[in-house]
Amino acid sequence: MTTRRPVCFLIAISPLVAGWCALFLGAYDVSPFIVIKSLINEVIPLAGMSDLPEQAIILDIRLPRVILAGVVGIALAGSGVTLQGVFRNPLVDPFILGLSAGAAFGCAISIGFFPEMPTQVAAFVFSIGSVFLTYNIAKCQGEVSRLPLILSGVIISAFFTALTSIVKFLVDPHKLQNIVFWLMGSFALADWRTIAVSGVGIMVSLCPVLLMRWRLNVISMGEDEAKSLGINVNRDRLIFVVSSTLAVSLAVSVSGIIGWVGLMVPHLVRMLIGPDHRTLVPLSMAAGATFMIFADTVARSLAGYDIPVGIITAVSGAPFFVYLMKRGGNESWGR
Amino acid sequence: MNVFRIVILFSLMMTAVSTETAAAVITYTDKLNRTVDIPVPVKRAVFLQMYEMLPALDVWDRVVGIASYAFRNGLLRKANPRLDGIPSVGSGANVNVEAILQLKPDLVITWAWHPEAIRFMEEKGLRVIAVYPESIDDLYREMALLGTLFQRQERMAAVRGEMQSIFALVRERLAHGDGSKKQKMVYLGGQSNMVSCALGINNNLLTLIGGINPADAIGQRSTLVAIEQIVAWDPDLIFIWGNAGYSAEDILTNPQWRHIKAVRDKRVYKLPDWTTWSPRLALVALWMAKKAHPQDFQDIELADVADALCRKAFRISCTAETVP
Repeated sequence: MTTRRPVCFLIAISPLVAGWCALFLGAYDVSPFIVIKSLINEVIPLAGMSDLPEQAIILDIRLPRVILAGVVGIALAGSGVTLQGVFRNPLVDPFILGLSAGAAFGCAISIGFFPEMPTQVAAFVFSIGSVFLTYNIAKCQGEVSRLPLILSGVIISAFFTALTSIVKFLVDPHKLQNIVFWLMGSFALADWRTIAVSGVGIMVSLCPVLLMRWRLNVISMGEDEAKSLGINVNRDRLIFVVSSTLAVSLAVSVSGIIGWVGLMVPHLVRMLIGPDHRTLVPLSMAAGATFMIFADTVARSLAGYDIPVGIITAVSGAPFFVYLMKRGGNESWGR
Repeated sequence: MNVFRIVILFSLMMTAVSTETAAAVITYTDKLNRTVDIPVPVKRAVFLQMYEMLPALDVWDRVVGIASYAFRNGLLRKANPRLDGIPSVGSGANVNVEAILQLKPDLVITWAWHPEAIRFMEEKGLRVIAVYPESIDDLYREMALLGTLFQRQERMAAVRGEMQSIFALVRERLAHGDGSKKQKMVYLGGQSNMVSCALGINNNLLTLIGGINPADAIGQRSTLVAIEQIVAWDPDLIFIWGNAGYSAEDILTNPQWRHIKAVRDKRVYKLPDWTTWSPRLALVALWMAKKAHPQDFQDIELADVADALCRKAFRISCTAETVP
């Protein structure tokens, strides 16, 4: 553990470093001096700064975008590592319980048929609803254990994916295009209001995970072992699942569906610092934020376009995951 | 002798008919560079695209199938109260090939960006042409083609003439106006950070009304850009696509956009939800020109021009309520 302290420290501060660097990059050419002056101006008002468009670029466009990317990264990676621990399965990601399919359906019907209903609200409601259905289907067999829960997630995902396809088939192409873009995930329209609602919600949702993270070590040993140590596995599992679901639902509702982060980042961190959830959970959150800020900065700076960030995470995530599997998958999970 | 004359006359008539039939096959190279031989006049057509041309062509009796989206088109509903009697055959993106085969059409007019569906329909023995007008000239070409296919050349020429007179009005007014300082204009799409770029009819319209499209440097039809890119362009005028799910007010009240000149000057306009693959393209151009150069068009009543075009092109009245 002592030898890993520098690594832990670097991971912990990486979101701040990534966020700071991201503020200097973008389509609008802003000098580093103006960036720093704009930030200072928020604390100590400087003469003539408020009227500069650069001030709005940094504080109203770039900064909320960077923060939202970081918060969503925290939610996805934090939920990913939690659910991997709960289900004792390294292939679990935050969307395993049908959440993304539910959110996609909410988005589709909001854009397609109920434009007066905000897309974020619809996505949030249906993502929560899909996980609720998943849990209740799994409960049909009595005690909610791992396998029925995962299988129910597969069923609900397939069901909502089919419903989304029906909506996509029925709506006209103008609306279809918006649905497709939403599903790709993006932070392009991030603003302070979005952060106020989702950021606070995500942080509050993840509090139980942070406070109870040591129990993940026990649960991941197996149900029988955990019960023998006095852990109420079903109750704790429910708390972890509900917390993760709330956090990811809020994240998905403001960013769209961004894959790979919740699967890849915990693996990377586990390889670097080991499987102890007491450090693995908070550092996965930090690394998730860093990765998401980095991916979004690439998305908005790579070319003249604003590439949906879900594309960046998938393109980088898939090959990187293959590399991780080849390099250290066996050691990390002790197969 | 008389019998001989009758036989000669009949032979000549038959020759004339067969010559006409042989000549009445046109060869057309479509948007996908496919060469298609089409016997004319087309008697049984399926319109998966360009269906707003139907009231202009006035060939409802020859339409055996139509895209599902056509049933949501107010202009078509007004032009043909019996629209619901025409079978729906899906859309350009989701073609119901079985329904089309059942209708036994001579020709299917569809969208260019689903070549697999076109190939499939051809394999099933259907004659298909792909359309996708990307400029005013492209639209004229497609209109001329439809005129030829349905032997409504004069009708299409007249409609084109009406459109040209509106475009000429726009050009003439802009030629007299102060053209020394061109305005920067962006055209936003389904999302507020989606802009029309170098290709396509929207860029054509911006140029026509004397604008400079800063996204013209991007060699695409449309793309997503960062909002700060739009701030960097600092357009004088912002147009929003009529079918977008947000309003001009949404842009005007969003603090992220407040430093853009168009927002400061409150020159953000959402277009009417008229299709541009129609004679109504001319009205879209006039609507945009009026917004961009109000002083040059203050005596022009768009509702009157629109009504006149509708009466001449579609044979219906477009009331003032339908013209924003």
